[in-house]
Amino acid sequence: MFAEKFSANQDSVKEDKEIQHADLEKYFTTQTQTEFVNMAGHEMKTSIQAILTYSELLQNKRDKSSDDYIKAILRNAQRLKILSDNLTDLAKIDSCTMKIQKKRFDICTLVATLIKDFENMTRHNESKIKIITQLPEHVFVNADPQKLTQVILNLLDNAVKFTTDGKISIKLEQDKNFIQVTITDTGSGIDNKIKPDLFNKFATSSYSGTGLGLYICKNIIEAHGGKIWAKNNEGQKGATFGFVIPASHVHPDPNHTKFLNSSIKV
Amino acid sequence: MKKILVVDDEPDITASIKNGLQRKGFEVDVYNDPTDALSNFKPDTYDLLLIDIRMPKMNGFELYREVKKKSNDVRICFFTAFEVYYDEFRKMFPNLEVKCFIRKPITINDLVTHINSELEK
Repeated sequence: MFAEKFSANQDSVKEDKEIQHADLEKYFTTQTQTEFVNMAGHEMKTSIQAILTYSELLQNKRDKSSDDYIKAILRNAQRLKILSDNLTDLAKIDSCTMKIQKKRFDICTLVATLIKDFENMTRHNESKIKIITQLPEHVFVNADPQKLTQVILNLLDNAVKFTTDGKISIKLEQDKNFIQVTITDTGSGIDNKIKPDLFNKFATSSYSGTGLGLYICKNIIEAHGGKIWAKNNEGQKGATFGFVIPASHVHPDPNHTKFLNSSIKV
Repeated sequence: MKKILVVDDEPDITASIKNGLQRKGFEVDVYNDPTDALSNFKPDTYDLLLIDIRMPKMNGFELYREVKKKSNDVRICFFTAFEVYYDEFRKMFPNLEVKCFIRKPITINDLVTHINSELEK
């Protein structure tokens, strides 16, 4: 399959022995099932490589850098966890067997804990990124805390991936029927090429990613009776991703909340 | 002391490999951006280049091609997490003159074995 994809270009490649960026990109962006497995394998091996090497370094000698090595191990283990959760959910979404196990909990506490854990894993040179939170004291929702954790971690992970310096702001607001979580970064923004497919399966403009995260986030949020959206920030760098989910009481219409008025609905 | 250049877009990979190879007695320079690696590349500086393949801006093969223009006798090992490259690309690009493909993940000890065997050639 791989060789066939290149067959049209092969003669010219042989002639000038040049390897064109576009040829490789064509392969990387054409996502068949086999290629997806390769991408997921690549993601896993990259994280495992980091975990393996940092563990070896710790095993052989502990020094002032040891704390950074442990952070790196945690960070890469977290990356593997997100990937394995996403893979499991992909299978469940495709077979329509994803279950949402709702319970009443304080989403502000959940977000605050996730951000603290996330900051504890931040790479030393990523400390140029400042994480700002705007959370009310308590907001109770009737939702699946594990699934919402997955959504928030995916969105945070994306924000960090595309932001080299500046800030990431996490805001939680509520109106009568809904709560809205927004994550705004000062990164490179959403690539126009990928925008129409942003929440589709396998859409990625990143060199490290499977294109599963946002597709799964969308399915999780919609399974909660909510909506997820994304837009590039107006007049400044970066992008904002957000979702609304119903507050504790039952079945409001997600099309009728003040939160979605100015957003690109996806 | 043997000097190695590592180019990989993942900072966790370059930082850990650098430290691991330094502990094994190598001198190591790293770059996360292949275009920086190319613009700062000086011939006759490195005994071996350890290069990732899939990177933004410039892939490992392009980097190798450009580096070879600056220094024709440079030695290189590709260091990749993609299975397909090893078998398919060597068939497709027989003139690439690269025999060393190291697959991630690998322990530092095994990486050093690969590097030493390449340096002995």
